[in-house]
Amino acid sequence: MNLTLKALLKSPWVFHLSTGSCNNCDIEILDCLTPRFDIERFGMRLVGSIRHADVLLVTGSGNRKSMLRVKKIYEEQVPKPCVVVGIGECAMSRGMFIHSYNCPRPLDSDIPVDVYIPGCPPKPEAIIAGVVKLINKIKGIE
Amino acid sequence: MEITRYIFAFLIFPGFLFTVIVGLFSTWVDRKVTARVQWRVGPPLMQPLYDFVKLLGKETLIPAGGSRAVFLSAPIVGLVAVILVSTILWLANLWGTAFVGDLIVVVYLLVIPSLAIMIGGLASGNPLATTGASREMKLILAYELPFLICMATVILKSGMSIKLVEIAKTPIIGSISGVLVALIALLCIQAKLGFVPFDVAEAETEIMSGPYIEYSGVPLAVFKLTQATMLFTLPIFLITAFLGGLNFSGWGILWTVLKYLAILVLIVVIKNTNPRVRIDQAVKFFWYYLAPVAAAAFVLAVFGQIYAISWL
Amino acid sequence: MQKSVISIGPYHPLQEEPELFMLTVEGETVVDIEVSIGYNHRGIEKLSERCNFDQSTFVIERICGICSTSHPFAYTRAVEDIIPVEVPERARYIRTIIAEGERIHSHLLWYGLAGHFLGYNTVYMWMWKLREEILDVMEILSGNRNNYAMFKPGGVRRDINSDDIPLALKKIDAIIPTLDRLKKAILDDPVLHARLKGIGILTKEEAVDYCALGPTSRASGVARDVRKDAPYGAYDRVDWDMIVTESCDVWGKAVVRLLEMYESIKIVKTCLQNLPGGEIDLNIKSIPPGEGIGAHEAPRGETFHYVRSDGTNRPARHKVRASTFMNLPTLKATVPGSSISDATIILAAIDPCYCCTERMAVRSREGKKLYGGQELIRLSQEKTKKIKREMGIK
Repeated sequence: MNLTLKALLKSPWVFHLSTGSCNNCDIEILDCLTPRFDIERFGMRLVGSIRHADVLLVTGSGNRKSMLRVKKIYEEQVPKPCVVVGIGECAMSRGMFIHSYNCPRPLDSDIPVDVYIPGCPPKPEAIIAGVVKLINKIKGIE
Repeated sequence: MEITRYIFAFLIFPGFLFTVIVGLFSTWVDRKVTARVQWRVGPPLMQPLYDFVKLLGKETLIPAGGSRAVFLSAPIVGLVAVILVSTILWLANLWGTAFVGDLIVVVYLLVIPSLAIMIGGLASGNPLATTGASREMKLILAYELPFLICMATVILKSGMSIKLVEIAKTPIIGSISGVLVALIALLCIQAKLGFVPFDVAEAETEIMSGPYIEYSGVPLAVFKLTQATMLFTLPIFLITAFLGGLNFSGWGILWTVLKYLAILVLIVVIKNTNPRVRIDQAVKFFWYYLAPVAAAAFVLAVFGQIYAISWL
Repeated sequence: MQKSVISIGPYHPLQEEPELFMLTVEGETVVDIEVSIGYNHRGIEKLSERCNFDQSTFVIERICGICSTSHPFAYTRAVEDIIPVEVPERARYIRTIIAEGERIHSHLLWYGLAGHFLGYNTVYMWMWKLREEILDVMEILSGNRNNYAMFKPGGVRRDINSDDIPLALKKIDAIIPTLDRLKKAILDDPVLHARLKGIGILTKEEAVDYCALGPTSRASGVARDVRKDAPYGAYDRVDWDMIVTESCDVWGKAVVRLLEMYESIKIVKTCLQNLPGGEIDLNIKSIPPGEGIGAHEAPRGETFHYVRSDGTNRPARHKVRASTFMNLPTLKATVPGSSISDATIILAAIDPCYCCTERMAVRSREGKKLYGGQELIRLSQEKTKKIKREMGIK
């Protein structure tokens, strides 16, 4: 594994994208930053600009209007290498919005997703466990 | 081999390499203290280094509407200026190598990182970055006035000397005007570093990191490095100008390190116990409150000098 | 002076949700604001019509993660209004406890985010640390951190175990000293005063004109609160005060929220101590045809639901009006004239929740023509006719 990837795993800066979620996953992501969970211990930071991001945390059920933007953001604006984490039931399978007229397609039909974290919403512990899985996946450990 | 010595001084010690290493360590102290204030644990010691290496490996995106050459060179200009300041300060403190007027040079060089941020922001062509750059410009205009008055007081108190070596020998903090100007200079440094409450130019939640918004990869890494080295250089400048300089004989080392850490922690605590002010409030604060106080301190120092009262 | 447009959104660190605010600025001063929504629309009203009355509660809960009690509360009240029935006493108390717990955590969350927007991350961290304690209490009482799934038409789904009550009370009591300290830290901070006082003024008349709700109206001196005006749940059985301030600015909204947390703590404690015994559910078997309305004072203001039943086991029509829908237009009165830095905190001060507010508007591709419901139906029918003609079907 090269040095860049190693450093990437040590300091993943996350950017958070909501594609029509109920806010709960987004709030739980923010919760991970706060004193009880404090993911800065592992070098993770929430960044303000998409250009600084290494990890995209995508929540929500894939709304028509916002998926166009998400696709554009992933393809044009994020500096590579970049990984995508789908957070919550909605990002996995659109959850209970699967029959909605405004959530036509699942997330991974538009952008490649590396790890899914299930839950409605996933607890912060689950999110941290998911990120650990992601790190192990990149390291090549099953 | 004078020239080799200078190149060594600029690139290895006390220039680039040394400044960068200590600067990254200072960033860690900043983040750790911040975390402790916020009831968190904070990042590991090597975290700033990981961040830097990671950014070096990332893709560099250049905005379509921007000027490529200016956009990429702006970060380097800022970094070189800070390294130069650091070299001058350490040479003066360690070996007494100095030239007449190096204080003035340092004061000028310290503006360049802010200018680099402005130029970079304007070159990216993003409206938010432009807003950030214009705020940075207003901020420079705001804090430079009290800062220069402070420097004038320093020159006056140290017997009309503009050589850092001689200024470093006189601890100015031992008088009323000295305390005042030291505090004002500390606040100016807060603004120079772009820390809360004066992080108006960067303001992540208002204008999405302002001038940095379009930067990614290596240029962003260089900007982060500039910030880190500033965090190291500016407290050293404060120590040199106000607290009697650096001393590396015997217990002096401990004393120097303590002085540095105290100033660093003070800056970080100010950062974490205040919300961000508006740009107009920042300008008002520096011009209407700090500048008159600094001027008053200057007048006090003049009286002290005329009537030879050391505590004024 | 040259005007430029600064967009806040759709993906911006200011908001958790994707929303687009177009601020027209002259230099640093905002002269106009336009809101563009639709990034979060999931068609919940339509989804609710395909679920039966019990299932709908779960969909309604996912309207918004932070108001995940308010919407089910208003919805179940609307369904009970169709029959009409009164829910058992114990269920009333349990509903009140959950709703007030949600208010505390929602206000703490707002405080944290407001601190974050002001660049005051210490407040953000401290408030959210405190919020974790509240979420613990909610987990003890309902089994979930968020999305409590406690409500159903005719009562509550899950009883509060009486063994859990002492622990919950202990945890709530432990919160109060920390909250006191934070209250002091916020109310005494001179820089916060400088940042929040006198900005985003919404006068009493404007608040009435725009039909502002919740803390947004109560900070402008309009004493309007569903819990007091038309008591439901256990709100008329416990003693609490409505918090109203006259300062009309962002500071007033912050103070209202801060003091409301104390009232909510008082309500939760009283309800937990005086929890009556008895049934928790009426076991409603069928809903007769008819219409019903239900309202609940959510942390952001009144949430209003309308349900029509046609005698089947599904709602024939379900209409949601969230509080932010009414509060959002007040930005037209508060934001123009302020600077960009103030605009962000004024936007945040109404505690906007767009996922509650989301609706769809159809706009023609060229111009700015907006289509209404009738017009869309007409267009749809015309297209069907056209397709039929093309296929040769009469």
